[in-house]
Amino acid sequence: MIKFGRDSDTPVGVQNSMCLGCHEKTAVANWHMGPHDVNSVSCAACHDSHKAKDAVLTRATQPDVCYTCHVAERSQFQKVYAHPVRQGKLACSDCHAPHGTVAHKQLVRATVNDTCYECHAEKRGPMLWEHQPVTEDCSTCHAPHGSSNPGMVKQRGPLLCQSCHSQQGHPSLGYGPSGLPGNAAPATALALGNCMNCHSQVHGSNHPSGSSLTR
Amino acid sequence: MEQRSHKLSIAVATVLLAASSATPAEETAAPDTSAWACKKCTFAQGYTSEAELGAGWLDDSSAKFGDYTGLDEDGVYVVANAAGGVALDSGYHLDYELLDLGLDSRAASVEGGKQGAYEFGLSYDRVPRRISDTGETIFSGGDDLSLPGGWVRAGSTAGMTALGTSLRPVDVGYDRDRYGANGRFFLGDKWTFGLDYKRDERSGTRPRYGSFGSVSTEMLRPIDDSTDRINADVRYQGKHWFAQLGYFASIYDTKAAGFQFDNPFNAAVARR
Ligand code: HEC
Ligand code: HEC
Ligand code: HEC
Ligand code: HEC
Ligand code: HEC
Ligand code: HEC
Ligand code: HEC
Repeated sequence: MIKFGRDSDTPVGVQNSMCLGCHEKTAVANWHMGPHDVNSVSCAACHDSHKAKDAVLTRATQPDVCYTCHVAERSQFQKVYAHPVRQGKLACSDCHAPHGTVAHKQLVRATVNDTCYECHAEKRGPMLWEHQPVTEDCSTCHAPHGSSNPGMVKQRGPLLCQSCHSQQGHPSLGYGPSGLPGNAAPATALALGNCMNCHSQVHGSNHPSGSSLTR
Repeated sequence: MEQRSHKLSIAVATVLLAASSATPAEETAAPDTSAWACKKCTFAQGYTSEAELGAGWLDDSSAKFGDYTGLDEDGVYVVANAAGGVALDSGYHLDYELLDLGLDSRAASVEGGKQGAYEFGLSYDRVPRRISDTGETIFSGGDDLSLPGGWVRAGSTAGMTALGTSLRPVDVGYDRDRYGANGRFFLGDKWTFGLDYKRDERSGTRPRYGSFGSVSTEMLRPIDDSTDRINADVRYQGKHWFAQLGYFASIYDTKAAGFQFDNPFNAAVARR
């Protein structure tokens, strides 16, 4: 007798081969390429199979199924600035293929950027003036699940920008209380959009004179 | 000004010779599924439907509360949800779901098909992005922002004497409408054809900064764009291998590519 589910003593491979017998050729053709297979996650760990309502197939209830194992991701999506997964507007499977792919971190597209361009195609360009880290990998600056900083960036500006750019040329940190906005010598790059006050086109510019990403 | 961009990729994907002996499936000898029936499956036969109707009241407006939920304005809300479907012995089934009707976060979907022959789906979903409902701006116009009449230019806000009388309240945010249509056809048990179409439309505003040398101003940039994505694939399933040919195209189109604004400061450039 084959028993299914997380508490079953039937080896996961045997459980799964039952389901795969019917499903391998369509839904889960890449199963053996993914980390869930490699780590002995059974089909039934995610699926309440053949129930009228399988929680993992519904956008609003799917994340809770994943969070039973991926605990860190739950807290990432609770952050103030996060993709609207908590509100039921996006599911994990909008970005990840839980049945396995050849892509990095089981993303639905070949690269992180191609995954982001699915819904943020305005960032794809082509740009006349590219900002190198943007073209390379959105996740150098963004925490793709969520962060405590506006715009889901990993660090707030100006620190974000200064993690790569030196301050030479135009120092942009307040050195004391006098540098705060409203004082005699405010550091202009601290208020509002900080570096983005001027370099508003962080994702690249198509303006003929946009080389310093200001327009 | 309009801007379009396209991206095409044709992937001759994954020709897999089954990672055979390594998989447990193979060790226990692949089961012969031809005579299996899913006896315990509780697929409901016949018609099902459920509906939910409720009302809500918000005593205050808050963009943060309404962000992605559509509950940003005060007043009465009607919340209606419904779901249902039909499944027939012959293998046909059709299911629908309606969510948050009456709110800016409304969604609807239909899916159906015939077991082993075809399946299809249609969906609509609105994602309300509510950034601020307490914003104020001096500018008017969409992609051509101009200053109010009688504006007094100065080097900093302290000297802009018309500032107080020129500010007008604005709501900042946009809606993202997501549409989807997909179909999958099975030809015998070897060939599968799939087609997936998605469209996202956004319209509204976002804050943006504009600089004039050493000074800069915060403004609202219009958003009015769409992204279409088309995914098609053909798959052939052999006994221990399969081959898949995929096609993917993404088309981006914006009506708000260009943007001009007046300089509220008394700097050298009056307009940018
Ligand atoms: C006897 C063959 C068979 C076996 C064994 C089988 N399934 Fe299915 N399964 C089906 C059929 C037929 C459907 C109907 C869906 C369709 O139209 O393709 C289905 C549908 C599903 C669906 C989609 C339901 C939906 O609402 O779209 C899931 C998920 C699923 N099966 C998971 C599993 C899991 C997990 C197992 C192992 C525990 C399993 N199946 C074993 C035949 C099978
Ligand atoms: C990590 C969680 C997870 C595991 C493990 C998993 N699935 Fe799924 N499965 C999902 C999700 C999520 C979806 C919905 C995918 C989507 O919406 O794109 C899904 C969808 C399906 C469907 C329906 C496909 C469709 O297009 O309607 C079938 C059938 C299925 N899974 C079978 C299986 C089988 C068989 C296994 C084991 C070999 C398995 N799944 C293991 C998460 C999982
Ligand atoms: C039963 C536990 C379990 C469940 C449920 C589960 N996963 Fe996993 N998942 C794992 C394990 C184990 C790994 C491999 C180890 C790791 O990277 O954490 C993994 C890996 C992953 C990875 C790849 C990480 C990498 O480093 O490549 C992604 C993405 C992922 N899971 C997404 C999901 C999604 C989405 C769901 C829900 C649809 C889900 N998982 C449900 C156990 C689970
Ligand atoms: C907007 C797209 C998006 C959504 C939605 C999303 N993810 Fe991710 N996820 C990513 C990206 C991109 C990465 C890879 C980040 C990187 O390369 O550092 C990732 C990485 C992961 C990893 C690997 C983490 C690690 O440390 O290696 C796991 C596990 C994971 N996601 C699970 C989930 C779960 C569970 C959900 C749903 C609750 C989810 N993701 C929703 C985009 C997304
Ligand atoms: C399946 C669609 C989808 C994918 C894929 C996706 N996003 Fe998003 N993203 C959204 C939605 C929906 C929002 C909410 C705001 C909106 O509608 O624009 C959002 C919001 C954001 C925001 C915050 C915008 C704000 O208003 O503050 C950032 C930053 C972001 N995404 C980055 C990314 C990155 C980086 C990736 C790739 C790892 C990614 N997104 C992939 C749908 C997606
Ligand atoms: C150099 C760092 C950096 C990289 C790399 C980067 N971004 Fe951003 N992104 C930012 C900053 C800074 C903001 C503004 C945050 C704020 O609102 O304060 C932002 C905002 C956003 C927003 C919301 C505002 C808007 O303009 O729509 C989205 C969506 C977004 N980024 C997507 C992406 C995508 C997709 C990629 C990869 C193609 C990417 N970003 C790469 C720094 C970066
Ligand atoms: C991951 C590293 C990284 C981060 C973070 C980063 N940048 Fe860059 N940036 C680069 C690289 C690399 C270049 C290209 C330098 C070159 O071509 O010499 C560049 C170029 C630029 C340029 C064009 C400079 C010129 O004169 O050609 C500007 C302006 C700029 N970045 C602004 C920013 C701002 C604003 C931020 C913060 C939102 C930021 N960068 C964050 C790596 C980064």
